[in-house]
Amino acid sequence: MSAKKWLIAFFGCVLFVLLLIAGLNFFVDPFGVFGDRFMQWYSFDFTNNPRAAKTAYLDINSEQYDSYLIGCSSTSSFPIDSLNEYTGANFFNLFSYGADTYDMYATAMYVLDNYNPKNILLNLSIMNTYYYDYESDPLTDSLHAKVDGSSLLSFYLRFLFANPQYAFAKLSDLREDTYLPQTFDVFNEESGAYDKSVRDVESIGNMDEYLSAYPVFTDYPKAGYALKEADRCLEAVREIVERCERDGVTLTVVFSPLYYEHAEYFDADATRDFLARLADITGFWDFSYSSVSFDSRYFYDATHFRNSVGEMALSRIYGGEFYVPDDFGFYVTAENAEEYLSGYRTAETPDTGEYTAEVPILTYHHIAEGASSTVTSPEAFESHLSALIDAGYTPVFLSELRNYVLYGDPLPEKPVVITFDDGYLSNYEQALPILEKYGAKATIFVIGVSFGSDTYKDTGNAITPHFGLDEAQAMLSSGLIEFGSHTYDLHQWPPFEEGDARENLALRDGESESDYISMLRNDLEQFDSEIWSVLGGNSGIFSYPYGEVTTEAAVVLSESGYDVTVSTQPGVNTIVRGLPQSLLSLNRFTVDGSMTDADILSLIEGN
Amino acid sequence: MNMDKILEIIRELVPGTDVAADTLLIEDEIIDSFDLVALVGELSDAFDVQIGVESVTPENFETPSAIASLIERLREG
Amino acid sequence: MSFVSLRFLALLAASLALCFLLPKKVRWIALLAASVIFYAMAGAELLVYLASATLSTFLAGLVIDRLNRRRAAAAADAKAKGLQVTEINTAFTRKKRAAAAAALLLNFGILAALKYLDPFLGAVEYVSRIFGGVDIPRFTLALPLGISFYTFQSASYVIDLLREKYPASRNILKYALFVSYFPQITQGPIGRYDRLSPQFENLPGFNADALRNGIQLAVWGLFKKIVIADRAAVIADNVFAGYDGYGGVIILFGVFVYGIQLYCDFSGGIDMARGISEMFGVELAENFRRPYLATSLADYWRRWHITLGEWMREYVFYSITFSRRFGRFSKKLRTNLGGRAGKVLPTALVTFVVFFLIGLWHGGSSKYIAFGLWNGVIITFSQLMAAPYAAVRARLKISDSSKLLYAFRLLRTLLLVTLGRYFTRADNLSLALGMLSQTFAHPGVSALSASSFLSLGLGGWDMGVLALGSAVVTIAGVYEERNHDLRAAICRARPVLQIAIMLAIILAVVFLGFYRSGYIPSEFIYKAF
Repeated sequence: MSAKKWLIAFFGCVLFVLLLIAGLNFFVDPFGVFGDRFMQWYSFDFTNNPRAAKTAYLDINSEQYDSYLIGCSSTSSFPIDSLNEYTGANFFNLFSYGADTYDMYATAMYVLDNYNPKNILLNLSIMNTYYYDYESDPLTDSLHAKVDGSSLLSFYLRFLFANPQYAFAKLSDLREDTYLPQTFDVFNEESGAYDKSVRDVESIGNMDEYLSAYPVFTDYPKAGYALKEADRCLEAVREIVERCERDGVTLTVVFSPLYYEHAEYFDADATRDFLARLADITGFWDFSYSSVSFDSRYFYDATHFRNSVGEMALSRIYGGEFYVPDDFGFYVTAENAEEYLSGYRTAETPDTGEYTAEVPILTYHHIAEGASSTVTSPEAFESHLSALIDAGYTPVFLSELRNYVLYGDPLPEKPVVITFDDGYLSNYEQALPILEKYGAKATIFVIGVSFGSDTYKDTGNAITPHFGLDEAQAMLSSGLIEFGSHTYDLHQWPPFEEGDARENLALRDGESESDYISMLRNDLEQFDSEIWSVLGGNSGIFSYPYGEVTTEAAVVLSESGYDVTVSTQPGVNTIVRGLPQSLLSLNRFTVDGSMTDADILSLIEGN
Repeated sequence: MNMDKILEIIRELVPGTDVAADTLLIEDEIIDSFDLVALVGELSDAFDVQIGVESVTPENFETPSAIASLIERLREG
Repeated sequence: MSFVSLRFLALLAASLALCFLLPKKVRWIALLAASVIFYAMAGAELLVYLASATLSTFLAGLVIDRLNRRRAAAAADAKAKGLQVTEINTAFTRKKRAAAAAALLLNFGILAALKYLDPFLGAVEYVSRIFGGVDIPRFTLALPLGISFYTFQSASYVIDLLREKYPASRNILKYALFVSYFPQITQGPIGRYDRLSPQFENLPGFNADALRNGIQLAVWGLFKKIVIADRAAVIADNVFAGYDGYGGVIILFGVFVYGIQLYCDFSGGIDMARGISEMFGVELAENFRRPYLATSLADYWRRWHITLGEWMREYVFYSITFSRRFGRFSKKLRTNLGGRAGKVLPTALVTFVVFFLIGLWHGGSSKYIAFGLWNGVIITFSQLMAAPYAAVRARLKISDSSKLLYAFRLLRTLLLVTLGRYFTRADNLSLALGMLSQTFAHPGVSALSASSFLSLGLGGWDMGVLALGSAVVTIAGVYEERNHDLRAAICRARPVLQIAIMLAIILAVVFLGFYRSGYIPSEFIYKAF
């Protein structure tokens, strides 16, 4: 080969390889900067680079939204659905993790320049006073060139020739993608917020258990921060405020909730000074330091408050029904700033008794002569009940626990919940009269398929009779009974089943995730259409058969409107106001028919 | 005469060898690099000349007579 | 500025184009312009150092050259009159030396001040603390790009003129190109004026063969650097960062891999420099000749960083050994000691000096004294033992061309070189000695498994790439060692094969080199948010 031909071949090869890389990056688009038109997996793109990918996503989908949330990662925790409901707008969460003040500023200006928004919710974090524009990875942390005004050519070239491993990773992660979020797709693409579906169905209650699951709160990293970028932060806010005023955009500025140890890294006087200056620029909602700050259960980790805390904040701002502690959230203006700030950060560790309750739950099944783990005699049941009442307990509905947690409704001093699983006719015939005698409330979990039946479905084997519609309606009208779901047909009895019995919600060997999820959904829908439709609608209360809980089931149940769920794990529950997760997988003591009154009391009093 | 003195220096350096004016010193491995260093030192002393690096070449030290003519050149410039 | 950057690629393309377009007489200007831009990109203020070195040695050259001519005229005159010339020569030599000394002192003084003052002050401080003395103020100045290389290069010019090797340059810009020539200024090879300047005068312009050869060499160098050396560096850094947890075998392996890193990085860089220069039609001196195929430590030093070794031999070793004073000194030793030792020892002392300087070249630290000693002792020892060793071989009837003997010599040399690297790479002397003793005292053979090699920072995949890359380089080396011309062989191959090789190397350089790092897996991207 002559040297000239060699040179042509060489440059041809170089060109070929360059085109190969560029093509891969363009079509797979691991950062979503080219619009991800082929794979359309935006939750992955947002995860890789939330800034650039969200900008490119908006390019295509901007007509779906008219309002924007802007800020760093804690901004994710303002629930979009509630926000839309309160404002009647369509919000997109433009937050990016690790956003510094410049990111926030540039993003706000970009939105104002290009999308003519109705509302902007600007979430300032205390870290915005610390970082203005810190150096970041050019691929994973960079702003879109359209946003920061840098060269578009070099921006697109950078992503066109990005490390192909990102594209390969996207392709291989696609095969691993599941219904639940994973490290490579932590976003919800429609809202732009984090997909917290798994973190938000974790059962939370007891503080000690929480701290052992999240030791970061017991060993919070000690560091000192100065508010070194306060000036530039305020300047950025001023520009955004002025611009919104000029454009007639409704701007809501929030100073976000902080975990107290995190807040206390920043000098109190300097923080007060910063807030006073902020109030001179604009009125804003301060959530930074309150009783909420002291309870780590309200935080995903030391720097991120939970979605439910965001829910509290929205409830405060828009006057919603969701529980808000009195000292949480204050609208600070130039006029009231001095007075408000004089008391800033003086709150002391609150008494947890004011917003938490200890609730034991008892599980009965069949009420009939005899004594076993599923059979309790009417006499024993009555004796248990009267002993509880004598000991000062008040039986309440599970839905009352919900009202306590979500809306801050009161509970009696010593609440206890009495539940019956499976829906036996004896609950109506034997238990109801006793309950009526004492004016005690109870929750019954109905298995859909055996509702009103005394034979096993299909095979026709005789079974303990279950109450039907008439009895159920009578119980409802007594005002002492509420119903929950015990699945439609996922609590099968293997000896009477022809095929493989599904005794509980555990995932079967070899069952695919998508099959499992659609199986769950079908069952829930069937319960909806056959039971809830005649019992006054979904009560949102659910009992896991044999207490078997899976993450997938927890997510699906939450999506289907079940927000109070119970297991069979023994233990007293701690429920927390403003923390809906304290209503999930609630512990229950299974009552054995042979137990004495004293047994019951020592069970629930833990001695 | 120069040649006698040169031969004497070489014989002293490498005892037990028979060296004549046309003996191939380097090619026949009569002297090695260490001897060469010593030889240069001895020659500069004996003839009071400056034998610079540029002059230390295989050609100039090929035979005793080549060395003699090198010294001649160095003395007369 | 690194050769591996878009900016450099742009500079290279522009200067190549300019060089190809300009008429022959002024092509060198394209190179000078590229060199100045290249240098200025590293920091325009550092050009002051380069300019002062250029100017001072250029002027010293002019002075010496004038003295040379006057001396020649005076000597010819004296000869015609039948007078002795020795005295005339001596008189001129003194003046010439004064001019050379001024330029050399200035330039080596700057080099020493920038490179060695801080470690020197550190040593002084250390000593003064022992005696409860005061703190010494420390400071570090920015080290000008390639200061060692251009200092040595311009020094050789001055000394060559002193030795009347060639006439001085009369054009300071052309001379400046010799001092600042961009392909070689950052890492060598150390060029010589008499080899480079004629090439600058006769730049060929566009030459497809030269361009192809240059690209081939540069890409090959790039391959060695970013595919092999950058991987090997991970292992070497790990082992030298803290050897406590490793058994002796692993440490030795780590140091051996460091040798791979050093060779591939350095020779790769030199190949790139030579390749880039070749694109312009300028052939730079060879700096490596398969050093790992050396049969003795002395042989190794003739193959490793050749231009530095030659510089040292020419300007240090010879300058000392052929001086009158050294002549007298060695004679004294010879008469007092006698025998082979008396003959070898004087040169051995100079060898020590040279190795100490080579050590010092790498940086000012006490460990380089140990490095110099190590090499000096072994080379001296082998010179002393050459004769008895040959006698043993003769008695055992081992032929000098025996393959087994060759293999033994290769391995022995490899081991000696590797042991020497303990000194150059460890952070300080005591660490190097600690590693050495750990290597032999606790080899930890029993605890050895595949995973002990994988715990050094490179996963199985990268380990495989490192091994395969090293194998390719070794095979290429062995092929050339047998007097074959690898490049010529490749150029003779069928076009399909040539394109396949080309594509394989390009793909390797791009995917295994450029994109080796800078990828953050998603679990790390999102981590902590």
